[in-house]
Amino acid sequence: MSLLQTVVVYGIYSAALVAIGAVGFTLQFGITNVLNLSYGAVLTSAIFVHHWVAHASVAIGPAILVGAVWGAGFSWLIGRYVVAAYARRGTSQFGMAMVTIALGLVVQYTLEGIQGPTILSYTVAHARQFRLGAVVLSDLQLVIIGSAVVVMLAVHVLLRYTRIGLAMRATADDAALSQGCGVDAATVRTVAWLVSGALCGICGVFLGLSTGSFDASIGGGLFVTVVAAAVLGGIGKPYGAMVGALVVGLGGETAAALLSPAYKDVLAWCLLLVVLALRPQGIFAQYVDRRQLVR
Amino acid sequence: MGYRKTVCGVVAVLVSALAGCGSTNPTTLTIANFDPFSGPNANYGYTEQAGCVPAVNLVNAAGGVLGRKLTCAIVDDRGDPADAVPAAQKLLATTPGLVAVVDSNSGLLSATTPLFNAAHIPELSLGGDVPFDKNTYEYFWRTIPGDDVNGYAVAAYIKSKTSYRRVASMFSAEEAAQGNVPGFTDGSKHLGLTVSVHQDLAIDQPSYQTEIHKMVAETPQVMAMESDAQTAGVLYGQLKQSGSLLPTVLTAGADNADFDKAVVAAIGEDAYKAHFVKVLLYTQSSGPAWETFDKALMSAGGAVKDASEHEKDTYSEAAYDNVTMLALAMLAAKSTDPKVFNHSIDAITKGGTVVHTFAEGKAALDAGRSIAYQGVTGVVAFDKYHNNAGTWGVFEPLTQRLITTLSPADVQAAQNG
Repeated sequence: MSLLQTVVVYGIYSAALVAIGAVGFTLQFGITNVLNLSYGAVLTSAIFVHHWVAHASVAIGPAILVGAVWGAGFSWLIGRYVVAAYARRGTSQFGMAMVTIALGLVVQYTLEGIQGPTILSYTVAHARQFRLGAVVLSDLQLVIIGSAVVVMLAVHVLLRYTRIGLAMRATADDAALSQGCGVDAATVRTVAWLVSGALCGICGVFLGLSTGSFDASIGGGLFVTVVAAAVLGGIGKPYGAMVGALVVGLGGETAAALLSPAYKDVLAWCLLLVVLALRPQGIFAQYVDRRQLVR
Repeated sequence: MGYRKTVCGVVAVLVSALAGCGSTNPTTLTIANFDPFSGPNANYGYTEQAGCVPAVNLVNAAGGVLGRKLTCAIVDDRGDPADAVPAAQKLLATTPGLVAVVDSNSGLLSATTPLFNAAHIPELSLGGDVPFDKNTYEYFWRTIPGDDVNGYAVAAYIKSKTSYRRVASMFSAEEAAQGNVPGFTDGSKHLGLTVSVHQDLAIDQPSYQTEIHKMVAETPQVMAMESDAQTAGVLYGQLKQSGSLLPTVLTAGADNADFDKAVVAAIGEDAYKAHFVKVLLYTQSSGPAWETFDKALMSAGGAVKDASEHEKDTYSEAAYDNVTMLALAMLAAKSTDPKVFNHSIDAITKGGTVVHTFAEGKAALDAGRSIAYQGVTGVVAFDKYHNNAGTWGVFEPLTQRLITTLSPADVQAAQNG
């Protein structure tokens, strides 16, 4: 029974971390149709920036602020000056994915240069702990779970109850038609890059704080899981990404409990293969369509 | 007729001249340093040479072996079987006075050892190939433990130096860390330890609480562990969080600054030093044997590349011991014939008089005593498979303070039951 509690609680914790990143990733793709494979590098850069700004302190509030601001700013720069420039030159979706891969590698290797020969670490701090039945959670882990809930609600409110959210949903469904109806594509695009980047940055600093030590490759592993969750839920569908993250998080912990911890990631990808075999569009998307870059 | 005689005479002269080209130089015995000197593992060869040259110089300075000088011949095997096999064949076919081979060819032994063995050439190896843990080649001798022996050494430490009997095996699911698992599991079984839980950890996960929960439920007293730094940081941070921090025995793969930093960040320096030890291959790098080696190394001149980098290099020290042992084996056998002195290689490690240098060994043998050579790397004790388990040290993290040592016999008990 206590093992079940552990699986559920830490599955939710893992899912929370993944969900924040996955919602940001899928939201931006849903609006701009750019498969931004530099997302993991932006996530990593947020950890480095926070570590530098906060002098390795683990205070959570400032970490969220730094992560969100850096991620939003960096992401906006990528959308505004890199993606837009290539889009104007008629780069295909595949070409754009390659551009973002290249950009991600530039960022990662730059961070490696900054990092130097050893890993970076946060300063040890005594974490407050909270017991939930048989499970002990730290204040950081509770904040991550809580933040994920807040982020999900905020994205829901943004998309469902605001004019810009309506414009974003319209653009995601049919970019050409929404522009014909007067939606300002540039504003929608900007907001998408900003929100996506902020979530990416928050996800990054949470990852850095939860691991305590990191190097320039830290974002790579989580990014793969983030993409898995986004695709599982239906790429471009924020609600789907939330469900996808839960499936991945709980699936990984279940694999660790019932099979072997070595199969944590394996099970997540097996779930992805099974779901896509049954629903090629993912859990939440209604259909598979041919998408064009939003220029 | 006269023409025939002339032709026959010329042919006879040529044949005898060619035969002379292939004859053994009566004054020099060759020990081949059969290693990569080019390619990505080129440092192996130079590391081995930094042991071979000082040893040969000392032997020659002490009058050589039975009146003959030794030399270290560089043979580049380029680190892969496709190049190593023809290089070995050429070495065997064309080297006058070849009496032995020294090498450090992990990954090549299966290809080249059968050739040396068939040619009755003793091979003193530092190669770590696991299949050679139980080889039966008569002329093969390995003085550095195989790559899997660290796991056995951890089990030996827990059994012989602690009161813990229920152990957790927590190694990350990477090739390097997993290399310890068979030895640790097998050794624990041989020594009567109970591996109460074994988990292969997926690396770089945000949570290991499920793994911790499963481990704690099996009530181990101590944990054997190796992983990358980030995995260790998360695992130990969460172990501390759940109040389940266990004494931990780490292997060589965890002996790096990143690992130390990650664990210190997760649990603090005091807890790290209090709960952890590292089991590592140990050479003293001090004392009379090392001082003799070091002096000879630093005076080797241009024959050794970057000599100062090898002063405390375990592999250079072991190569030095190997060549010294070969020379002492020849003296003990009173023969430079490889078929004869091969049988003395084991004998000179288990005699009555402990010697630390070639000069000491020669003096003892001249006095009619049997010797036990204990060189820079310490005691050498070959098992029935001609493997030496090595001397292992148990160290405190961060300070690298030596806590205790494990003898080859301790580790062999874990290996062979």
